[in-house]
Amino acid sequence: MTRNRPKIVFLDDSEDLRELMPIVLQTMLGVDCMCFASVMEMENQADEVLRAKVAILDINLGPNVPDGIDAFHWLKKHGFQGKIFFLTGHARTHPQLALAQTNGVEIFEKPLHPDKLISFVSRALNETT
Amino acid sequence: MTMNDSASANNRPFQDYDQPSRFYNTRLSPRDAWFGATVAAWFHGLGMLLELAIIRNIPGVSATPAVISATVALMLLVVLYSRRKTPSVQLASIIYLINSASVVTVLILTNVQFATLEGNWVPFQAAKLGCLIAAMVAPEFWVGLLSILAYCLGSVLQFEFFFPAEVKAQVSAAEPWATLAFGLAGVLSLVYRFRRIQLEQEVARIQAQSFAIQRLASAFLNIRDLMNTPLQVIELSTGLLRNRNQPPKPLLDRIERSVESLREINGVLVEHEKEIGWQAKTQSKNSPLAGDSTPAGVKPDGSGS
Repeated sequence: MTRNRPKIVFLDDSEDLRELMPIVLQTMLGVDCMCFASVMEMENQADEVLRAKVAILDINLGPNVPDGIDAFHWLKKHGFQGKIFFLTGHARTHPQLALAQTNGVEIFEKPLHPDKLISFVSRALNETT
Repeated sequence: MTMNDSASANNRPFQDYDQPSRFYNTRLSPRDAWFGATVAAWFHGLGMLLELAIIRNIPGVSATPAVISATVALMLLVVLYSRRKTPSVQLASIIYLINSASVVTVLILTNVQFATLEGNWVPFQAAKLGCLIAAMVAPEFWVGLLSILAYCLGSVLQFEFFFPAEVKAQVSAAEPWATLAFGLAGVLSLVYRFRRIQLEQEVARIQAQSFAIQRLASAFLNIRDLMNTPLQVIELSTGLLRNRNQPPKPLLDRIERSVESLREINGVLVEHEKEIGWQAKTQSKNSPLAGDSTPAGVKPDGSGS
């Protein structure tokens, strides 16, 4: 099987979610997804990441490590042209999310229904192609 | 015991908690009370040494009361030092009262001698100083008040009823009002000090209460933090199952209803998150409730959101 270039970047520290998300996106949307547990892992594959069309970022990635907000700034700094989503449990309360929202970022609160997730990602892929 | 009795017994701690006591019932910590009694004993001991130095220059004034009193101060200091590891407010108060009684006795015994033999004697200086020191270091309000009254009224009554008329005539016309003024200043300072201590204790109590609430809210936040990702995993898993050729629909519907219930709990907890503000995932993932156990059903790697 030939793998397409991944169109979606998924950043989350949950191993279960990192295993599930590519299956969901491939099964329901037919797109490939690359998953990262930390911002550093993302940075190590900068070329691939920056070519993606959609980035889905968690915020809390563990104690004393760069979080999803840092990932967002890194993507913006390096000219990421795709659509950025935050998928977080702190959608309503994180102090910096309001700032990110003004930059066209969409924020969704966990748990997000798979149909909604697919709908948002599909719309974002259409917008960026 | 009736049900009402039981209810009132259960409510009592909260009533006590809600109604702050009066300032005069405010209790210092045993350490603070002990420290106050120790400072008073040092004042007493060193004061008596100074008294002896003064007496050496004034022939005719007996040194015996000051020597005995200095010995009492030394003994009290020994007790205070030896029991310093197990301080108590009650013992500190007893020691303080013995200390004050000893000083007042010496002053009463030597006042007339000083007034007679010292030409430039300023009346009741030591008693006036005692009034102010008692206000500053007394281990309990009532102990302080009693000491101030002893210093003040002891001198005033002695002046009014036991000073020879010719000596009284030599003493400043301001007496006994000046001594009474010091007594009043001592009482007011004592009231002010215990009122301030009461307020400090009240603030500390409120802070402790607030801290406990904050911890509880943090626990709620951590519960929510740990719930979000497993819920998302369930949502995605059920989504995938529904996409299969023959999805177990009744089973999936049941799972979805359960997820919906958990989502409602999540909604309740998010209100607490708003109240305490967002906080980074700083605690160990294995101790979400600031404890040391991992909740059932959450994997040790149970990532947050």
